[in-house]
Amino acid sequence: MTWPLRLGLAVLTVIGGFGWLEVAWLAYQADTALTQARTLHRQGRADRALAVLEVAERRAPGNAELPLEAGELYLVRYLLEGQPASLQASIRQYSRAARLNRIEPFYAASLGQALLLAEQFDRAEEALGRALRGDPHNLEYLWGMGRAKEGQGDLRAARAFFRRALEVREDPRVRADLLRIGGVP
Amino acid sequence: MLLGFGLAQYRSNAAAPLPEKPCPQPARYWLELDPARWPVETLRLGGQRYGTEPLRRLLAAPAGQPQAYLRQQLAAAKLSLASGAEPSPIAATVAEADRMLQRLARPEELLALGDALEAYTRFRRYTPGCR
Repeated sequence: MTWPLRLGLAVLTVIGGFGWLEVAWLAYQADTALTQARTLHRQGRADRALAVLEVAERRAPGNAELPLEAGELYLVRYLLEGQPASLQASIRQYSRAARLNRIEPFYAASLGQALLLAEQFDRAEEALGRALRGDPHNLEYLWGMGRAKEGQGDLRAARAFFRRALEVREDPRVRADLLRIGGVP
Repeated sequence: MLLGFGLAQYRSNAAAPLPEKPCPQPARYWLELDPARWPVETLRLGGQRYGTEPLRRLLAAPAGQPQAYLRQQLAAAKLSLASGAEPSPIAATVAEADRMLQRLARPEELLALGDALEAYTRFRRYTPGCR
């Protein structure tokens, strides 16, 4: 092997090593932020947890776990306080997570669930449809799709989705919704 | 480069796993826990805000009536969510319970929704790691 080739390989190895180091360092920082955020949330300090995640998202903008966690925190805030702004923030975070991870259906489904709460049923149907394509027999996604149909006024389709969900597994949440829209429980 | 390789591998072998989210807890747990250790001081249930003492009375009361049962289960679910329990499987049901407590609903609807919330808090059906 001639010396220019050796030199070239050495340079490439060093560059590759630095690239690897950077990826590993970002992953480490993201995991540390998630750990910190969950601990703060347990202590009832959701604001501080969100601040930690926000900083981590700026440092590792390609990490889908961080916006997913932030989306959950905003979702909980909405459920506890009922502020629409928290729900919108949750949707923004879930959208980001779903854009970053298009493979796992859970990301699209999380977005769909938040959109259902915001009564954006068309967008919810689209997101849940994406999740269902990845996992067609998932009770949660079938149930969500039923809720999207219900929101659009298509009660017949809603009942059909709820029944398909119950074929996967018996579930009191789906039963309650089926009862509410007049399906035979 | 070795350092880079080592750090890249840390997820699979060296690092501690992320802490699990806390498990949802039933009404009885929150009743027995000192309110100073609750994650929140007030809760909004069906559009009505409850402080610590009214919440304790609500959790302690016999939940014979469907609406009282649903209110009690909603309180336990919301306290669990505030403490960091997994929200995604129960978010829609919690929001529905809040709405249902603000309108006229049939007793069987109230009971069915209360059962769904209890499945989350007491029976932990939607948090497999907590069973």
